[in-house]
Amino acid sequence: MRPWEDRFEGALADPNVRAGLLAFQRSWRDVRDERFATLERDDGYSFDALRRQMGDAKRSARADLDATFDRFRERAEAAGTVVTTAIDAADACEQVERLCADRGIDLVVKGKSMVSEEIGLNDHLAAAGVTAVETDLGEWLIQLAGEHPSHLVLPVIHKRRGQIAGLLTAVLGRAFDPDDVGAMVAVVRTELRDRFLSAGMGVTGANALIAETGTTMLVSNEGNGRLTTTLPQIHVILAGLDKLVPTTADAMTQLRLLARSATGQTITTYTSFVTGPVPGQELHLVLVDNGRTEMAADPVFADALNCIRCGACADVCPPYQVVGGHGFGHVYTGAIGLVVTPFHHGLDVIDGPQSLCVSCGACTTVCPADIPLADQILEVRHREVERRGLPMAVRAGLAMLSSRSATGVAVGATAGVSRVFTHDGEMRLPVPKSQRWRRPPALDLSPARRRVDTVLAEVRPAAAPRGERLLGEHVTLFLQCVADRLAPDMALDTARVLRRLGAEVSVPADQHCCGLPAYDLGDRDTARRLARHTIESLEATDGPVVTPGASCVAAVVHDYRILFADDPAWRARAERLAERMHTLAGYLDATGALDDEATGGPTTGSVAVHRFCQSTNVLGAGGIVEITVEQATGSPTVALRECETCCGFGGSTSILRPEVTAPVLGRKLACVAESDADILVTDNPGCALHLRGGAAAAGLDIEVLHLAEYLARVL
Amino acid sequence: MGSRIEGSLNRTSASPGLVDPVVVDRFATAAADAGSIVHRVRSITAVGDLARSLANGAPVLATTEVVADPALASVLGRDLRTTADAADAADAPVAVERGVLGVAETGSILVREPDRASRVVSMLARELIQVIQVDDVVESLDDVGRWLAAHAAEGYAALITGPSLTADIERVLTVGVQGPAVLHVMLVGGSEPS
Repeated sequence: MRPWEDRFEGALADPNVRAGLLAFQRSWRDVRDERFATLERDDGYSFDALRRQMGDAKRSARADLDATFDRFRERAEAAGTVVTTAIDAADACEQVERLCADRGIDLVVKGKSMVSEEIGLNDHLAAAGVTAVETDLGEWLIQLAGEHPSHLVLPVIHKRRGQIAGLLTAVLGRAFDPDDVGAMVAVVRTELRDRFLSAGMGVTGANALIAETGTTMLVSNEGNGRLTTTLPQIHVILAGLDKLVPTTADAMTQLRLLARSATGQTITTYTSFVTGPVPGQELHLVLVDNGRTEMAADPVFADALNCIRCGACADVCPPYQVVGGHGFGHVYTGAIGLVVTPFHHGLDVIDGPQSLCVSCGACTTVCPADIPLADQILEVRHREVERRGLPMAVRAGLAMLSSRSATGVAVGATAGVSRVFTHDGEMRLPVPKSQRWRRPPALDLSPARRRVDTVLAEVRPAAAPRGERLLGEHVTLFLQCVADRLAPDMALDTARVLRRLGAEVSVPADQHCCGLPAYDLGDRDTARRLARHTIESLEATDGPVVTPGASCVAAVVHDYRILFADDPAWRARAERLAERMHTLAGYLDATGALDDEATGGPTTGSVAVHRFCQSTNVLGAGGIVEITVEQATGSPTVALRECETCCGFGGSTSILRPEVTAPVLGRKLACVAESDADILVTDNPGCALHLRGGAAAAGLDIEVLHLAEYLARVL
Repeated sequence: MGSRIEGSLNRTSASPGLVDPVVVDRFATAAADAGSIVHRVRSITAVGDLARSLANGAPVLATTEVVADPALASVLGRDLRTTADAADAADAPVAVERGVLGVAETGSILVREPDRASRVVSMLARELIQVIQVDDVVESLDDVGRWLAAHAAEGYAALITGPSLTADIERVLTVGVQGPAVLHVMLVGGSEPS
């Protein structure tokens, strides 16, 4: 495999990757959602219930893996299967090579098997003089191109039909019409038929190993899997030990989830149930470990073994859309690739790919096997940071962030200097071309924390009834570090809005950063320090805490549980804070403060809402910001395509990996332009600044406002 | 609707008429949605008619079970045979196989193919005819799971749902790759003529 940097640069330079994967992700999403909606409507199975069942089945198999395997082995052997185990890649390859040598086999046909890619089987066999021919269309094309698959299910999805026509012409020496996909597909039937007929061995993977009956379940659409398991005298199944499930019922649950998640089909054309050999032939099954036992013993990563290899996590991933699997993965691609690669291939080779993750959480929401992928990727990042440390500049930044006063001094100094470059609220710096895709915000010399008391004293509640909606409520305002220092109006307007609705607002003076930036960068010690400080600061008051920082709410509600996993006392305190913590929209919704007949002030222009990814994927907030805007004004919001898709801010990712996050932002801005809205509203300061800067750099005629800024105008 | 666990060879249904027509209709619709051509026929005579018309003078291939089934063999005629030789079967115009269960949830047919010949003919013919009795239609994959728990050890079984296909190239759907390009589901019995 080429080094990651080469694959990454290559993918960035190939416009086919980005365009092809955008079309793919959009069509996949529509079909997949429709399939699961139909399944629930017609058969009563909800996606959430099914995926919990799938996770439980795999966890049950792992609860006593030896016993599960013994049960499987006993029944498979009773049917005539030869079952062996392989401790690592070399062991597995050598077993297959030995079998070829013993039987005089020099040609092997292969059904699609990611495990065989994982262990490098084809290269190993080639070195031993055995030719392995892929028979799945996508895998065969990949083999012809000398590449690795870029997706778990659709190996060649990173190439468009023109490129494939060119590849076939180069290999077969005849012309192919790039628009005649049928003709290209037909080639695989004629080219591979005599390989099937003359191969001495067929190698496949397995989708599930059913312990109850000793049966291997194998799915395919093309029919090549069935040929591979039947025609050669010997069939070898390579399966990771994570494929074990206890019962046939579990296998049916997997079938309900797999095709819908992978291809948007109800079920694949062929589902084979193989227990013993074809009479007169041989069946061998090699159960592969290669790091899986270690994964099963790791409480953070064990659930990654639930994976049913559907590829959905890649299909929803914004960075994956930009660089494809060769950039966003290793042998295994997509979010799951980032998680399992450390165990199969090492932490070092996944360093580059994991740095592209924006932590939007979309992968976790579509995983049919109940795997907390987004959290696991952050754990990979944390372990990688522990292994090699952070760059000096980042460490310095985090050290500064750790101290509230140091942050104040540093930001103030920078703001003072930046005054020179600030015009009309934007910073015009001579920046290198790579950073010109968004204009940085002007730094304010006077952060929100210094002005908020004055603002609260000056603002009067609105006229009744709106001005009395929050009468008697005592709200604690958490400013959020980004808003406080870089966009104080977002925090001040939050205070204004609460006051306008009649609430009393207090602002703890010692509050600082919730710790999310440090957590996001992989520095858990700093994150925990900041988290403890935040908890203590906010424990000084009772009652609701409201913040313009939706990301802080996600951090407190979700990430603090992970940060304090080993500290029950702090975890309990974090949970108590989590119960009190609200986004502005969340608080207004919970209190019903805007749920009245009143409509807002002067017409503001049409509004579209960008849904902050963590609010959607971690907090389950859905359309709450749209509802808030609509209640405030009495007017509907404008639809925004892909409103839940990450804008690419990703905390540190947009600073460290602009080559990837700029196109992610571009995708979002194209949807914004399409919406034709006058105003774009979102409730996370980081996203708002990122979108504002990007819209300005792109020359888009749209105003980007935090929800608080918008409501302050309207109320 | 209760589950139908046994779909054994050659028997006439142990409890004819118990299958819910709504479930049968659902199966027929799901099979058609999956790309199968569904023929609803009164008797297996229609199987012979279709097979011979597709074979167009060439031999009709079938699984071992079908060749050994007197009723089916008699309608399929003298040119009926099976073969375990892949080169022999490759691209034969038509093969006939009997289904154990029809699954309404997915439009699939569960088959047992315990020997090489059965798998060879069903994989390599250009068009595949699967015969399923109305009484052997079940509601869901759960029924398949229960059947497998009881019978998987007896030999190879498969769920077949529609013709072979791929979408590997830009997700453009192409039907007919390595397996049969056309799947005929002959749903026999019940009140619907084809």
